Amino acid sequence: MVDETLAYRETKTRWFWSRPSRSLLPVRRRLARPAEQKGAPDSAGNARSAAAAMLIAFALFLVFESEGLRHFTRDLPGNAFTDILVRNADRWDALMQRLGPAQVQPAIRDQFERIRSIRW
Amino acid sequence: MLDSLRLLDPAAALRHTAIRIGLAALLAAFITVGAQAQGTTLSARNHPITVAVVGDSVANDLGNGMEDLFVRHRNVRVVKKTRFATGLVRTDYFNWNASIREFLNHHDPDVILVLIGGNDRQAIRTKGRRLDPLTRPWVAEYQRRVGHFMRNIRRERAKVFWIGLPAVRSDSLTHAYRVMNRIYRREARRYGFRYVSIWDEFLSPSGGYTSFGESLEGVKRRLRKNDGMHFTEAGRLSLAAYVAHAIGLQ
Amino acid sequence: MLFPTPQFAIFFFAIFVAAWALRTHTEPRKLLLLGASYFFYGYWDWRFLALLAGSSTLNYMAGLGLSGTRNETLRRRIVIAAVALNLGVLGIFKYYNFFMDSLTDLTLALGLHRDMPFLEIILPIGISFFTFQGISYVVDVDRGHIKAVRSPLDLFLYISFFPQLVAGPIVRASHFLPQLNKEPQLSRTAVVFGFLLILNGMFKKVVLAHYLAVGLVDPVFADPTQATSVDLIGAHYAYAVQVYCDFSAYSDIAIGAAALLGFRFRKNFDRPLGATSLAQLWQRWHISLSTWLRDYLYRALRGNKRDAGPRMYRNIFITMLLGGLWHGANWTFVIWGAIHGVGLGAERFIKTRWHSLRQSRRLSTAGAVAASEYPEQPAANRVAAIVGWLITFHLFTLAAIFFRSPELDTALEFFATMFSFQGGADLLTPFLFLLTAGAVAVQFLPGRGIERFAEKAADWPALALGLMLGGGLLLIEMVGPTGVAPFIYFQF
Repeated sequence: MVDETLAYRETKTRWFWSRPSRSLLPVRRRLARPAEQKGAPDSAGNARSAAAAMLIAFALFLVFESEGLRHFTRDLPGNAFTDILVRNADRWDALMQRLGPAQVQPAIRDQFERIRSIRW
Repeated sequence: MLDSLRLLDPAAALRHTAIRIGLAALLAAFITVGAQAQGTTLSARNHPITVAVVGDSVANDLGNGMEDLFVRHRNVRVVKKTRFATGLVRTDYFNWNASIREFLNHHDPDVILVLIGGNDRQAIRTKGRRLDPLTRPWVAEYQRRVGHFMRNIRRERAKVFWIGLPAVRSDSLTHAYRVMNRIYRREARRYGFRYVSIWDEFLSPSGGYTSFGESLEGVKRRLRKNDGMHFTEAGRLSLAAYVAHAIGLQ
Repeated sequence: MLFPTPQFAIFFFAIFVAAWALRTHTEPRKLLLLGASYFFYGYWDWRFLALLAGSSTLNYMAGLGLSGTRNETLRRRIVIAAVALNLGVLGIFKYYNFFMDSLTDLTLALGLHRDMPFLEIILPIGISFFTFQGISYVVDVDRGHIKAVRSPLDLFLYISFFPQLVAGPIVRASHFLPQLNKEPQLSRTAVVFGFLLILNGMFKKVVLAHYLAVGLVDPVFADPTQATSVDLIGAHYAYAVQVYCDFSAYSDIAIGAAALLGFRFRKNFDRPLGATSLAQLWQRWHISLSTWLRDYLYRALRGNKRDAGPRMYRNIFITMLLGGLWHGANWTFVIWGAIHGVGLGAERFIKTRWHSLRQSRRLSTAGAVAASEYPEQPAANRVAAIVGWLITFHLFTLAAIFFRSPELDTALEFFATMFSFQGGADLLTPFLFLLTAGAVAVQFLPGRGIERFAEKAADWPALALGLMLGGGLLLIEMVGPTGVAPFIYFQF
């Protein structure tokens, strides 16, 4: 198979000012799911799915990055409401430390640092 | 000339030798006194010294400036322990007291320059309470934290210099830094450190903040970055030169 | 607010939900996006909202003025005035103090000590980008590529749309405005594509660019004379990868965020480090900027005459020189642009002569021998491509030394010490070597990897997508540094 990136076929000289800009538009036709190509996509449904996915991602962060939540609440301007957030963030982090998810980050970090510190 | 005189008269020769020895002793004394007059106990010309720069991102600017300033000077070695966006207030984010001793034990510096506090104008949360910045309880607690940190960096053979915060573009931050500098000055005196103020060095002639000032070349240059706080390349050199002179290193 | 922060994540989620809730209400949706964009920009510094609004007003009025007259002289004056005002604003904010600094250097070199009249100017973030967008709008209206917009809301949103406001890509009005007034659509593939681009961008910025910078590039460039040759050689490759990752990461996140909001942006970086010629590199590197320079600067210099002589090479050189200057107010950027200008011109000259030579060899045998007797030679083409890649890649990495160096002396010290070939690997660890080599190797993979994966994963349920997005971001967060450094392009 010829690697299309490295193969150098030039039937005519092409320069950056004569070549059209790259565009995602041709890709757009391929982006649609087969069923969607027949009509408009179910944008509302897809947006709901995307929102749900983002909320799941937030939930993962809450569980595994509870310490980050402590920092984030402390970054907020100080007032009665953020005081409540800070207290709850501290309690949540303590719970995640006890249950174990908060231990995952330091463990992964340690492994990563070990890899980083390997010398020739 | 002295040698030719010796040939003519032994007594004169003896006198001249004594003069020579006396001159040499005088010269040696002058050099020693001169070196001491330039600094407190620093005599970079005689033996290598390690300068540790400790603090936040502005300390990093100072450290970089010191490195550039002394890059060709074999007798001065600059080591840095700087962490961006840290301070003495947000111990949840980074705890300086927990890590500073290890760094100092490892490098055993002769001089410690501390520049920290730029990120500290925020609420202190302690023992379930929130202390709003610059209120009396906040000042008391912050002073306690500064003192605790100073106890941790105090070392027998190291001279510690606490560098004050500079004026910045933000008026409210500048006001806060003035208050905090007073705390640093008080606590430094208590722990036998020397407080070095850089406040006036980076002000305009009218006494306000300016991004520009005299560089080491003797001309006006931009010394502060676009954020109105950190230092440009020229600014770092000016900052380092000023501090180095103030502590007797240059 | 910076992209890789919880604040932005919460902000984006809120805007995402609200924008899709309003998808059938075009005007309120546009107002929401405009409000969000001004909030986003004001979060950096509220004082510059007036500048953003002023720039948008200027370009809006210019567009309306052009649409209201067919008088060529008047149209020319409107375009010149709009472009001059746009560039004037950019020039003052970005380059005034640079010129004062350069004058200071000049006077010092002449042995004079003069204080220049510097101004206390704060550089507004993203000014290079939204100014260029404004210029492209006015010129496109003048050229008839698009109609002037009547609704100020449309134009204001085009200039300030938050995904690409502070660091690109430079989006063309002809591409963006038609999308504003149609009901937005969101396919499942586009959702996955958006998530993948965001993950890709975050990984490139938070892991790749960061560790290359702090572990190798920054210490080496701080004082090249103290580094070993191996570290310098490694650092100059690493910097090319770092700058690619940093620049393209913001584009990826911007394009991914825009895709999630139903907007299609063009790719801005397309595996540029795998280019086999400088021309191809500039077709793949910061595509929105290179096409902007082609369409608005090069064409303006060229005029209506398509000249293949010295004037063409001059125009190429000036275009690249100014492209370099756009990146930053420093002579090292100008030198970087000049190197690319000279390189592009030389490449074109050589290729044109080579092409003519091959054509004349074919024609000289045309009488009796069919052209098919001289078929394409794949092996020779492959060798040419590899050689082309080697030359292009190294031209890019070596020129990038100027791009990175704070001043010319640093760059020269870098070269001198690098080519002294002394010392082993001190800072260059296996980890950093693999990061650099891996990032370059990935450039040779087919360019639609993310799109293909998005198509395959389009059937995944929301839970799987959430785990992919959350798991990916978590892993990046866990191995990344604490604290967030701004993207390099923010200073432009």
